[in-house]
Amino acid sequence: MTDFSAWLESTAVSKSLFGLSWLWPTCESLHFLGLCVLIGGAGLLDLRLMGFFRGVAIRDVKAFMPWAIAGFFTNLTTGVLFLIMQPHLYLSSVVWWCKIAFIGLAGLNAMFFETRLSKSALALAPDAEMPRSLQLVGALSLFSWFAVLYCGRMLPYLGTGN
Amino acid sequence: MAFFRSLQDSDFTNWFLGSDSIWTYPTVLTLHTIGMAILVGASIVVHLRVLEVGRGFPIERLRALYKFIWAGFAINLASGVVLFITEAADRAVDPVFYIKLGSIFLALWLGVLVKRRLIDRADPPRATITTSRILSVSSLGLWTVAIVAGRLMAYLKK
Amino acid sequence: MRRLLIVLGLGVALAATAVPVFAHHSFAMFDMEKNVTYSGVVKDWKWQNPHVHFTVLVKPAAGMDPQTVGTWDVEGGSINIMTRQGWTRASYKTGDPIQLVGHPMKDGSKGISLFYAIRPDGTRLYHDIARPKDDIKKDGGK
Repeated sequence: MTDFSAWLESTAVSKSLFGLSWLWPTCESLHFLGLCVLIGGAGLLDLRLMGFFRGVAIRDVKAFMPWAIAGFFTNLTTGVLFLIMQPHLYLSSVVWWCKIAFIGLAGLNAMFFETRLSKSALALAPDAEMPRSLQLVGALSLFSWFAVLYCGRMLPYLGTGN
Repeated sequence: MAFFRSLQDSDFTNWFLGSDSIWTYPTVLTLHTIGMAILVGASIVVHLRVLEVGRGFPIERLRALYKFIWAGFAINLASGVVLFITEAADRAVDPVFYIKLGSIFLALWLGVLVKRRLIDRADPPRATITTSRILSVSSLGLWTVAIVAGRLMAYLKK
Repeated sequence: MRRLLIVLGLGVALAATAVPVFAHHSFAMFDMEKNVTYSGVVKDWKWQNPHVHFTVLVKPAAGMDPQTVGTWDVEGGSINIMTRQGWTRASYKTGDPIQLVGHPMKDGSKGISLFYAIRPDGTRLYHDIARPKDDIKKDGGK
């Protein structure tokens, strides 16, 4: 990993991006804004699936998801930029790989919901009790995203990040 | 100023910043980020709904989100005070710090105005809906300023 | 309505004042392309989170690179990460001689981003992770 990091940091792409003094701090601000809208939008859906906001149709809660997804893609983009600019801060860090694992967990969970449970969830009456499967999916999603946040914020302390 | 200097140079600050435990500085900083996610995340959902995203979501049900807003704010007030103490003198003369606090205060206040005028009202008139949308746009802008200012502070440390 | 406009005006004004402040404080960063060796004496030692900071005084001397002369503020990493690289609170103290390699500020101001310190026995104390291959490439084998 150290060799790969060293190679990547020696490339023209990495050097020119990291050489732009404003880019790193701008990516950080965007990353923080992205996580807020992601946790806000996805968190609302997760809470609904867990049984909160009873009486509100799931369809009306899912309407915020495009914004949460935009937040996710903002963070994916800025995340890739961080990785290209300073790979050694991440690739050798166990905490960073944990963060990636939790992102994968959240993603798989979301895909499972979309492909297997979404149709029946949307058909539920707004004041129906949430089935156990939906409660678990919602709880796992909420937990995963906060775990991602935790790992990311702890990188300069638990990992080797800046 | 001497008061802020005494906070920054205090035994507490030396212990807190000099500790190699992850349960001191790293944990307080992470709590601050968690609080931000809850506070700003919930605020974003409220204001997006006011701006007609998810039109089927009943506006009066947004009230429950204010519990999260105040919970997130409480976490960040507590963690923020601790962090402030450790750099009190530097922050007291930092304009970006005041921009951050000012934006947070205004963004929260606009959120409360929206709640009172729109969310708590049974049948708000058209004009109220329109002005509430303006307040929501402003609040979203102010949250953005607050987050950018917060991030910038890390670069302007003395 | 008037009160609303006042509030709005305040909000916009606040946001607007942010812009010149952000512009004034340029994100002048460290020149990560440069590895410079500094030999001096520790003047101030701050073993603290989020960044270990210490000040190094480099005196002019025969054979000393004049560009390295002066009082420098050296920025390291968090206590937690540096500890993992072998640093301790007692690694250096005021008055200790120190030799370090770091990246100076792009704008010429006397700030350094720590790469590694060189102990008297020649071993290296890295700031974050040990990357001997990386810096040998940059130094051209020095």
